[in-house]
Amino acid sequence: MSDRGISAILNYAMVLGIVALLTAGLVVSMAGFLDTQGEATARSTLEVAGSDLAADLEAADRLARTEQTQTLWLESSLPDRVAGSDYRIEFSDDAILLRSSDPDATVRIVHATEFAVEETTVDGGNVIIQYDPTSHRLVIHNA
Amino acid sequence: MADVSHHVRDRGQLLLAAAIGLALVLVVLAVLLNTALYTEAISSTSDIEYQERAALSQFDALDRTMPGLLAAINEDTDGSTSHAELEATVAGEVRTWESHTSPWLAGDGAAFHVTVNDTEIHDRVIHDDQNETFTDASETTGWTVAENVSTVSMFRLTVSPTDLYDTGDETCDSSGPCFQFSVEGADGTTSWVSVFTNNTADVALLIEGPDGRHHCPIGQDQTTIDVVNTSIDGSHCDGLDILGQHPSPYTIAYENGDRASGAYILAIDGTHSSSANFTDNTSPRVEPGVHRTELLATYESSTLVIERTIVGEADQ
Repeated sequence: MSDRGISAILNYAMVLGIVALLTAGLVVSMAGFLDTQGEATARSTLEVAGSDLAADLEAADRLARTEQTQTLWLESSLPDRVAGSDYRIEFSDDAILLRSSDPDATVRIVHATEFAVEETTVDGGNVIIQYDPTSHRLVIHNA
Repeated sequence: MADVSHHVRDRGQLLLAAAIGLALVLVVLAVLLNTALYTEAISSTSDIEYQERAALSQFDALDRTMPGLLAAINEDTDGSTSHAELEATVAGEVRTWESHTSPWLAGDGAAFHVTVNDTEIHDRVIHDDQNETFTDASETTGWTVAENVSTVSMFRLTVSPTDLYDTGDETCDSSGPCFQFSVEGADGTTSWVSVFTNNTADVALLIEGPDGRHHCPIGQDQTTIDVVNTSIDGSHCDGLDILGQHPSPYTIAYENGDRASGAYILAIDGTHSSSANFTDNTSPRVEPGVHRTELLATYESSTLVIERTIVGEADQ
């Protein structure tokens, strides 16, 4: 008797409304969490990629250090994208800066090389590290 | 008449439960996807360190192999071996060494190539018959061993007190009766080294050069005089640096060769004296020997290429 006044259509509409509200509530409440997670993931990925790259850069430096080395060519394997975003890598003499735009994350990894590192910026993804015996510098470019 | 109100209520509850379930599935999917991304992020993909170790072990192995390999090649050389044959032997032995390393590296998708850039061959004047004196093949006591010598890579004499002229308590200089070897520089200046014994007890050395006279520490038993390394039985002797005191090319000569026996080896980049001074297979004789080889070694994989110059000198 209590639902006698409510039509089946209204009942459906209310059910759908409640479902929509619940779903929207979940999406809204999780959106912030997912954004935070996305940034954290991007930062973690950049940290790992940067550490790998710094290790490879230092390996290249070690291998080039002896006068016996005539040629050194090293390909550092890095992800093309981090957390679904493109990123850029900036090299300076003492650090590597990795920067993704969406999510916005920046990571700085310090490296310790004896040879100078050419200051340059490359796209994220595999990079080639070469030793230039003329200038005694490590030169980096995209693979 | 059928009661439909209960069916409608049940359907609504089902839809509600399904919607909540779907939302939860979406959340779980998002979390899982994030976890997958995170896992990918923290797994390092670089294998450069492994390859670095593999490459360095190859370069190191080659570096350590060369002195022994060249010494073994020199051991198998005789007076009939030409310089070209010796160069070919070096290239062949290096190829053989390379072929032994290839299967091991192929499993890692890498390769190691070695090519010979340059082989420096010196003539070696060898006297290894302990019973023979230091005369030439025709028993001439004063004779020129080598001339126009630009580089001396080895000059080592091994003598015992009983092999040498005994001066009693006297000394012996370049005008004395004991064995001497001399080095004359391009400018005509000369250094002499007199080798003798006092009362058959010690080996004595008197060096006369542009900077005066020197005595070096004396050996009591068998003594090795290393002119190139300026040492006697491994101990440094300043006065023995007679090669450094004269400009090249040098002329190296012996005097009173009949007053000493034992062994010597002289490796030179220059001209040994007339073949008439040497025997074919006994002492003294001339044999070519590899002094130094320059190799270009390449480690190559899909992610690492290293080219290094490896210089090997024969074990003395």
